[in-house]
Amino acid sequence: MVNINHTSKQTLMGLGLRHPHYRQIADNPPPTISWLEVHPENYFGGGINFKFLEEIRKNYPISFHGVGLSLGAAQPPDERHLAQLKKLIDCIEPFQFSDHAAWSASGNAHLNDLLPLAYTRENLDNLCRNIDVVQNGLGQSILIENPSTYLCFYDDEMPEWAFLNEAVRRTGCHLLLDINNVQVQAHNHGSHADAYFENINFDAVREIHLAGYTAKTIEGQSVYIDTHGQAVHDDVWQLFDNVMARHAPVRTLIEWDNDIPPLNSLLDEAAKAQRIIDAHHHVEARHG
Amino acid sequence: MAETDPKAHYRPQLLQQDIAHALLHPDAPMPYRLDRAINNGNISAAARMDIYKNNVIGGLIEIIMARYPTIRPLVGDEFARAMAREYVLRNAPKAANMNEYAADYPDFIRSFTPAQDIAFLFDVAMLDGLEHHAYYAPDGLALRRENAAEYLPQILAGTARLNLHPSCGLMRSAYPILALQDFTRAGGDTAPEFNLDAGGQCVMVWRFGFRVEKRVIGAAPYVFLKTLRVEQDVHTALEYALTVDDIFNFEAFLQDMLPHDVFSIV
Repeated sequence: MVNINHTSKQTLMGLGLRHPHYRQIADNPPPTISWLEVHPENYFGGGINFKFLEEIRKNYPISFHGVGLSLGAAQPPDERHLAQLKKLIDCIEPFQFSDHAAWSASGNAHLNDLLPLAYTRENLDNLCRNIDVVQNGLGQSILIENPSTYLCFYDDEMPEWAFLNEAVRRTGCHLLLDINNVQVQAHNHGSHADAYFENINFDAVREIHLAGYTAKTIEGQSVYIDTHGQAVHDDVWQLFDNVMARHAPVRTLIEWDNDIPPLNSLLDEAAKAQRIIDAHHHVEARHG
Repeated sequence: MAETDPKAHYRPQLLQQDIAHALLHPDAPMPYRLDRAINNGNISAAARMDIYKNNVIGGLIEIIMARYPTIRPLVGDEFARAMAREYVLRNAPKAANMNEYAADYPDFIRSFTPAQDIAFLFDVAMLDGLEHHAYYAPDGLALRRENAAEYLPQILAGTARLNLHPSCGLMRSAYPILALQDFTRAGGDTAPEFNLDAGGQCVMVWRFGFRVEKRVIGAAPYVFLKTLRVEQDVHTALEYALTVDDIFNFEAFLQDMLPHDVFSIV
């Protein structure tokens, strides 16, 4: 395991490692990024993906960003999934694990999307129970990420930030703050991202995600879709700048999942984020 | 929301079941209680749910298109998507590991009525599926030149067993299936018309290092490897192979295959 605390690199920036860049990153590790993040589900079982990850982890600390635990589900996490995850963690030794404050499993069906929760006390109980199951199963504290949402419920009893803060307080987990997702949900529900950042418990934030959304018009209204298929938008850069002006820097990731561009485009985005961090701070990684 | 608020009885499990059902039955009307539970603002609840339907169904269709890439150029984008959509609507994923999803898609194609006229489509999907399997299969202890001297005597004496490497898959087609795949992926519509009646092929697909390899093999090696996978016994596999070709040269075949990580030791 490459320990992020011992890396000589000073950057806080990481990239989501994606298939088209495996060979390039394995052969010529870019020096301007200091860690990589992968979806562990893509490496369950083994194969060529896994072989690349074994190579690449020699040069970078690896973070696991799960998409499959369905932490917000009314039902507990799938035991087989958790066992596969544990096995992979034992093998790759990532420096952290994160998943989402959303759900994807209902009964025997796994819907392969991050579906929205009503922000109720009952769902908070379910989320905290599932986080506890995972943290006990993995023997470590995890991070949960704020989701992009396209609908909300009349049942909501609290804002999303209060829901997440309470999950942190009750379970001891940390937060992965996706600034793009905050902007997407604020735009789609007519609220303000600034209010979200004022109220989220930033002391619990261990990682930031930056990604691109796609603007669409539905029934004559503007809707942001979290496609992770474009460069980071100016409004999200501005929010990141505001957050960095107010808070100590944390590890920051450029996430790009669809229509994946050449690696240099991702490195340019990472360099832009690093410049914003540098403009506000003398950089020293904060360690989780 | 006092008049329409259904929350008193809309527990999370039921709400999530209703959403899951709506997503997996995208053409059905949305359940009344779900429609009333969504705070729609300026956009209807149905339109908001459509975003998730597009993400879920569209995303699963893309997974199938990527796993079976030779189908689209053969049948066209519209047919390929419509067929994948039918599969998705009948087969929700059972696990979060999407590399496992749609492993039985070739069987679905065989039973999919609109595809009945395209007899070779099942074989095309099978070969694409073997490639996917070879990419993601776990590793095994490969029999190689450097350890052959140690293990071969044990294998022949029956104290160690020989099997195919976990990544290795086999198929026998009535069509020149590997040639068809090569032709299609090379942009077949601009090349001379493909001759489907050029004779069948047995194909072996496996992983070698960071690559997936494909090779046409003879009927006797095919039977040898197929039997080896089931019986894990060299002598039985050889016996079956010799019934297909009584001059099948096991030693030459083994020497030919040894550098390619086709076999594993059990």
